[in-house]
Amino acid sequence: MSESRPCGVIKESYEKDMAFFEKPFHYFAIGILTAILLLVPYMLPEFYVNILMLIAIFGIAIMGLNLLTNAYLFSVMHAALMGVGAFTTAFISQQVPFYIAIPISGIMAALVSVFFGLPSLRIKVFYLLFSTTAAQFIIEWILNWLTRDIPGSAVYTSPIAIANHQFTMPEKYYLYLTITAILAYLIAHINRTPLGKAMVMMAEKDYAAQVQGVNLLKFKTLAFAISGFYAGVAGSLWSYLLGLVTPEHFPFLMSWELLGVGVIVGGLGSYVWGSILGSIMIIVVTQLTTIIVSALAPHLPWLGASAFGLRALMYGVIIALILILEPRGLASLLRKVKRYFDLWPFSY
Amino acid sequence: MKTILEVKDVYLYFGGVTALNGVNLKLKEGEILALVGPNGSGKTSLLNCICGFYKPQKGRIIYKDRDITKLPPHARAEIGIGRVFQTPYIFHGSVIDNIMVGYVTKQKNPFKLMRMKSAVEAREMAERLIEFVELEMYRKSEALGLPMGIRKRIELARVLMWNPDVLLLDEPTSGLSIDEKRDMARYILELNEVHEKSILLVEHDLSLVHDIAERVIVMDAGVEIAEGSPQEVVKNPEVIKAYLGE
Ligand SMILES: Nc1ncnc2c1ncn2[C@@H]1O[C@H](COP(=O)(O)OP(=O)(O)O)[C@@H](O)[C@H]1O
Ligand SMILES: [Mg+2]
Repeated sequence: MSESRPCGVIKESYEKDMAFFEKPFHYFAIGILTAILLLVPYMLPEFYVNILMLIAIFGIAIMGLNLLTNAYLFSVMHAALMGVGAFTTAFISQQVPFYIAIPISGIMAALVSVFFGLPSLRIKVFYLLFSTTAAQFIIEWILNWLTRDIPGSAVYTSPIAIANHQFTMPEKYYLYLTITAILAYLIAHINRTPLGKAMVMMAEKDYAAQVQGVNLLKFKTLAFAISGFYAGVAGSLWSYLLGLVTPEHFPFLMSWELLGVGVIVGGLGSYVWGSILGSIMIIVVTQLTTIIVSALAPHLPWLGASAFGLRALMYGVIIALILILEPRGLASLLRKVKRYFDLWPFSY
Repeated sequence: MKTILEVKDVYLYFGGVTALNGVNLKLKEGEILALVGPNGSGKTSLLNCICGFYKPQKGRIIYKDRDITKLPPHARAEIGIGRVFQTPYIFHGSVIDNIMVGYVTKQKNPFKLMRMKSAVEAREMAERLIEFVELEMYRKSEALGLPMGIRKRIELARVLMWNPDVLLLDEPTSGLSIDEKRDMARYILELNEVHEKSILLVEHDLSLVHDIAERVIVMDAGVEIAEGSPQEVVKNPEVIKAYLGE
């Protein structure tokens, strides 16, 4: 049938041809990964479970941003969009259950994302960085204004519960895993539909795409809506994890972290695995700097103040290394591993 | 025969350059109309005005008795105009991916577009068109790396995804080998005869025009200088002058 497919993979229908996992080995790998993730709460202290939940949260936000960036729409307002989701959840978590609060937070962030994304119809890529910078600060300002009467601007979020049953630790973690898996499936699915292909064409040749029927208004709006929704859900989960939110949780630099490390280091265009790897990178670096700084602080008192600088420095080194060694991000390392096993035992 | 597409007194300027200087043209339903003329005579500009890529400063475009002059390009595609470019616009992805994009013009509801059913249907249509343009060998190859002849077929297949009534083909055979030209001519004829497409064909190769077009319009410097059957047109002294210069 085809020329460039690795040998040993035969498909009988288009549906099967479009499946995410092609070989028993892929199912095996996913099965092992799932089993490990499910067992983590019983094997490791809660600290690590929290880390995994943070990875899930950032992973979700990065998935949406990855799709947007892959459509050549650059956003540095995604931290603020997470903030929109987080505050929506904080404000309504007393009145509505989590399974309503989470999607509503996603929709709110999607609307805000579309609103600030609309200028992208008129302006070019480079200027979009500035308009979304403005959006980030406007949203931060609005969040501060909304919480002006609250001490420390900190809004508390009611815990996740069904009826009177409050979710405890492994349950909460499993809920986060499930939501992440669903959203990961959906974004990978979009990529294989004509809508996903149209977004790639729009990114590369927007003028030609329009002539061949791609409605730029519709598809740019969709890209901003989808990616805003993901950021909003991520923010909502953040809100439920921490139990409180303040506008300071979602600074401008976090937007750059999501784009520069999350998407670029993770792997642009690799919506699921690239985004997860990008998220892992962010969380690992954040944790490492905290550990390094607290270990060295007693000996080097001036270091405490430069923790953030240390993090930025590490990011700088990582981004530079990735761009030199693996320009398509960590995800392409993963692809190499996959290809190796696809052809195994004839992997030469 | 009924007129399906009409260009009425269209003027197009780029700064001081006049690309179209009052062009009139009628494409009849089911015909192959060839548009010929020297380089820079405005053929591509005219197709661009019809598909909405350029906005003429003056004049109107009528499609199926409807004034579409103000319609954006994607809306013109949706009502049945299919434009194939002189240099095909191919994006990163497989040949199938490139062709599947055309489905979004057919299915406008974005939520339906996201469903697996759409993906499968788009895929089935793309596979059928891949057979039509004989690209079975390449279906999963990275499209950007393929030679011009293949890329032109990919773009043709992509446009056919939404089954347009009018095809605007801009030099579909330029840069092709003799064999590839013959194949392309065969597709054009089949689209016209079997699938009843009305075709506006910009073509440099006069022998090909002679073989497949029913009517020819000759342009020079943004105006029409001759019209008629292929046999008549090549004998027209104005045409000889425009082509050979003085
Ligand atoms: N985008 C553009 N900007 C400026 N001038 C253009 C543009 N497109 C076409 N022209 C000019 O319009 C004239 C007609 O060009 P074109 O329509 O490409 O001719 P043809 O397709 O017959 O070779 C040429 O003089 C060309 O330089
Ligand atoms: Mg031309």
